[in-house]
Amino acid sequence: MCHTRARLFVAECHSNKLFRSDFVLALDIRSTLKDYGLTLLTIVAATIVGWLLHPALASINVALIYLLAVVASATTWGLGPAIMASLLGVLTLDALFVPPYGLVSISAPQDLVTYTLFITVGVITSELGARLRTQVQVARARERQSMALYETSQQIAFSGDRHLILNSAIQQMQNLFGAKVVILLADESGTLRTADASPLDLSEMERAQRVLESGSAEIAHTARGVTMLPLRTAQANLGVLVLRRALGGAALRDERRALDAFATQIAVALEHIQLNALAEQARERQANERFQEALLSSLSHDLRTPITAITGAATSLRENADSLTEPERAALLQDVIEQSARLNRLVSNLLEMTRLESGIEPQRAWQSIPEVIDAAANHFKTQAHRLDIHCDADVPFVQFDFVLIEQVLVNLIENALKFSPADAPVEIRATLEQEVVQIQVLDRGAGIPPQDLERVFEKFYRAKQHGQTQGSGLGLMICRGIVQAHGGKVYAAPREGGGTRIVFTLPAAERVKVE
Amino acid sequence: MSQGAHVLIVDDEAPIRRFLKSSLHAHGYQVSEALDGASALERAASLKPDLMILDLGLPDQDGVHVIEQLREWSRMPIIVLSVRDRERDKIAALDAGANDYLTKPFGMGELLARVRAALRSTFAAVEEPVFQTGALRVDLGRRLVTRADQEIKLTPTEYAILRLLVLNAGKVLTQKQILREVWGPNYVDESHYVRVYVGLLRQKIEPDPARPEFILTEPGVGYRLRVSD
Repeated sequence: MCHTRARLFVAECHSNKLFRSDFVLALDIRSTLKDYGLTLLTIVAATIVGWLLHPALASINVALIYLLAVVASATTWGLGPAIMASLLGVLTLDALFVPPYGLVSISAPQDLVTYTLFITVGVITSELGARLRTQVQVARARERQSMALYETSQQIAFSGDRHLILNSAIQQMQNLFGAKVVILLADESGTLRTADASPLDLSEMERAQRVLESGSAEIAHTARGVTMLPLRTAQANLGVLVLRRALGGAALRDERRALDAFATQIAVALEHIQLNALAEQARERQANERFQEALLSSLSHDLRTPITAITGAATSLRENADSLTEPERAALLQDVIEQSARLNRLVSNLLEMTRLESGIEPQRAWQSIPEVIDAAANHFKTQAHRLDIHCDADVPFVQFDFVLIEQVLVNLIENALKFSPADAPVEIRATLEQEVVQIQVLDRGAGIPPQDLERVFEKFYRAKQHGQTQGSGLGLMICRGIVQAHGGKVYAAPREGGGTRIVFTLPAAERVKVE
Repeated sequence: MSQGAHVLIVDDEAPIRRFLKSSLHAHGYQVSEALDGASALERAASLKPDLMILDLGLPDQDGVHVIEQLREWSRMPIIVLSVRDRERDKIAALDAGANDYLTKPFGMGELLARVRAALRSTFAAVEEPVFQTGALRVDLGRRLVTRADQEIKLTPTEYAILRLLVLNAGKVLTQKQILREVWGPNYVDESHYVRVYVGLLRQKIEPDPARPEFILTEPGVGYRLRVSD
């Protein structure tokens, strides 16, 4: 019987008892021994009450006490115990309260009528009581289904995680129906896939595929009792819900309603996720378009500024050759040279960015840190006096791409010179910190607001100085890309006494060997 | 001594040829031009210039190939022009026999200094046993290195590198060339040896090893010993 079965099947027993109304009566007749025992106790209790009260009551009233016990048994334990109660009731009534006492004997014809009526009323009442009980149970089962559905919908409505949704729905359904539940999802080509390790056999998979394609349910009255429902949305069939009973037998109408509701619920949640993913893609595409636009406008500005300065200076030298003073001529020529150098650095950055984004690997070799710092410093010959370089003697040779790290330093030094007052030196320090070489470029500029320290390495971050933005914002972003490609880190920090400290590291766990 | 020397400019870009030509003219050089590799070789043979300025990106053939063909019969100094990011091209050109290189964009001051250095290496063939640049003095005859009259002790490898640089003073030497000369042909792929030893050498001879003034780094290519102009 149900109560003695393993826990795993409890849910299934409930469902058998609850939904298969044609079995309900039979099952009730086969109510448990405990139910019959309790019924017996009820009759004993009615007898005691009747015995205590009968000196004051007519025997007909005692019969009513028994009838009460029959009705109670019917509503509590079902039809079988109720029939037993009415028989026992008649027998005890006759034996104890109707003379001759102590014997079951029908001494008068009206007694026969009374007992027949009693049993009839008992049986009818039992029927009604048992039916009421069944209805209560069905109502409770529906409530359980509704609760399970409600819980499932609560769990999946706020979840964007497909895996979580499927798992919680499967869990709820398995508990409710006491059956194995598998959800198969269609891939982009419309073929069913299962993540489950114990999926269906081949013919079942074929059937599931048919269900997916036709979009109509298939209820198989096979020995294995497999029910398949499509996960349908307005647009497409997203998958198939498979319910398999261990004991066989197809889903009944009541169960089907609940299953349909689950299937709809899951399909809606899956569709929701799909739509969200599409919306996310659209947002990304838009952000990317905005980024490309920003890149183009930034590049256009940064490339044209030096070109404009060069064109302006050169044409001015040609058109105003006679009116220009010697210092004016010299200044214009210096502009041409400096703006060309700026343009050249910008083009270098663009080339490096393209190289990085196309995934070209750095050409690593054992290199000297002082050498690369020196090479970078040589890009700023006119401001050489402002550069203050310290390289500790214990800084080892490190493996890196010379051209790329030189570019990092050129960008950092260019920024530092740009944002520092003209009389403040820019310091470049290289030290060995355990397993990394740390290189710092320190300036005495206005500093970076704390909230922007991380953002300076993003594309198009521009430092605002005197309300004006300067530079393309590409430089630091490229620095980060290059340093990360070397397995190092780069970050900005405030400098003691004012200004900014940009630090980058290069791994130095390995040491060079030379014969 | 280099005044009046004949320079052959090989570049397919007219604006580049124009500014090279006008500047070299202004400094008293005689200038011829070629637009591609084939005419460069033909003019080098017919005009016999004293120096060639060669762009590596020519329309008809690889500049390195031009150098290889020229080197079969001529020791004329060659200065190549190349862009940044093409370190391999520069090294290939130098290893093929080019004397020097310039990275585009470059200033005229730089170009003229390279031209002078390249011409000096052929004209001033006199082997001077004593080389002096700034405060650094290298006496090859006595194997004596001094800075501001203070003797500097060098290991044999360090001295071998310095000697090679002195013999090619002003000219860029690739790491491969230094490796071949100092360590031998089996070591040409161990380019970090050169960097390590140049680092040690700088510690000894440079007043500020972080800002070397004698041994200059040619990023990604090699080293050059500075000559005082």
